Amino acid sequence: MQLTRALNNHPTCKQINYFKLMTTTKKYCMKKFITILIVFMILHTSSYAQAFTDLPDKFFIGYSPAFASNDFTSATSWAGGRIEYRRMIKPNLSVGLLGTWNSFEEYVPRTTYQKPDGSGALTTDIVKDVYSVPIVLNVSYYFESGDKLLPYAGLGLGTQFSDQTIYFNIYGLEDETWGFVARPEVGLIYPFQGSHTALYLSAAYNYASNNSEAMNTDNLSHFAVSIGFVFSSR
Amino acid sequence: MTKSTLYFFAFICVITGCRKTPDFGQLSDQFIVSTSLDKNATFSSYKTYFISDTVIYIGGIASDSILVGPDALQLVGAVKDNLNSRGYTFVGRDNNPDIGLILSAIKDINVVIEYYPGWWDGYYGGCYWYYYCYPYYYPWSTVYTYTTGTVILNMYDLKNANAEGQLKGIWNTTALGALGSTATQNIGLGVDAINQGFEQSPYLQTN
Repeated sequence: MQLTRALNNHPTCKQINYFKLMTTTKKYCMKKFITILIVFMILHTSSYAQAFTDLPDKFFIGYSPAFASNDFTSATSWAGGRIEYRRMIKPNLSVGLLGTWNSFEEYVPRTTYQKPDGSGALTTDIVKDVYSVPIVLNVSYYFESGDKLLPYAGLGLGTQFSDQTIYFNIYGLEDETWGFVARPEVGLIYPFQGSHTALYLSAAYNYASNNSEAMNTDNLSHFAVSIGFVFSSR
Repeated sequence: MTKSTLYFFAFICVITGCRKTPDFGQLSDQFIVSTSLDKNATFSSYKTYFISDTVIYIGGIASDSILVGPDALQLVGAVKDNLNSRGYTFVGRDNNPDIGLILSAIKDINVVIEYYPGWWDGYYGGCYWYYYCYPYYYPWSTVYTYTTGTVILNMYDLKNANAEGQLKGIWNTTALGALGSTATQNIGLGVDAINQGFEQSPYLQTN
């Protein structure tokens, strides 16, 4: 029902430019990502006798799969990442700026959709694609301090850019939206002894109010987990 | 380069560079099939129909014509098979059919010319301050074509035509998609689309 409206009424129906897609496809994403990680590791190999939470600036970089929980798709995104900056304003409190990105993709086999007013039907198979980039300002509270295992809880507020596309045959319907984001998060940071580097693991619910009339969706929320490194500097 | 500059570039890289292109190989090449109907029409009130063996064929600029022969017969045959199986009876044009059908096919050739690198037409060479000197180079481009097809099947109410001879369209199937390289393949896509059009219109029944 919902899709029929999207497929029939959207004004910006366009044909996909396959050749352009082929030439711009980025397949070296993970490689680039790992290279960046290694550069950061090299920058942070020197050791200091200072507790992890005493260092004011923290940079997070990690892998971040996500699980969509909205009306448009329930796809899992294995292609995703996270990058974040945090500043300690108290021994157990930080403020930060967080950005993540995910590509969700779902194939729906050939299905007949009834037009909502009963005036007909439409049959096709489709690929639903969502690219989401939430960017939030966050506050995190640490239940421990010093150099131990650091559990934390935080809340981020910000905005999310999303590009939603339904592809069928050689056509695509696309809608780009911005929405409000609320992102509660819990996590663990495990500092390496005598180093400025730590491992982190986190789980978050990313509520995003991205509203698309064309796609008949009023949110593009997802659950996200993330694992990666934290680099600190003074 | 300071550390923060590095972080900044890393941020830009990861945010812009990691979008995954969907796997379009999953998509079938079957036509998208859309049907619409007049909700006030009582399809069981019609018993007989007429459809010509000729298909209207629109194949690009100044080449509008008709499609006859085996290809047309295959497409028209698909319409007849479906209508017959729903209880409708084929009659001649002169035997007052209750409904009339017109089948059209459209073939569109799309030509795309793409220039690289994007929006400018080559460099004229020259030096920018004392940093770099560029030699002149030609823009290069690629040209490719793809062909799309559309099958349109319209059903008109002849039984209730008014005094002025105005006909009312009561049912329509529009199917479209990319075409293959052989006529057999394309006629096959058309026949599949016609069958799907009837399949998603179970109300087309004489009883």
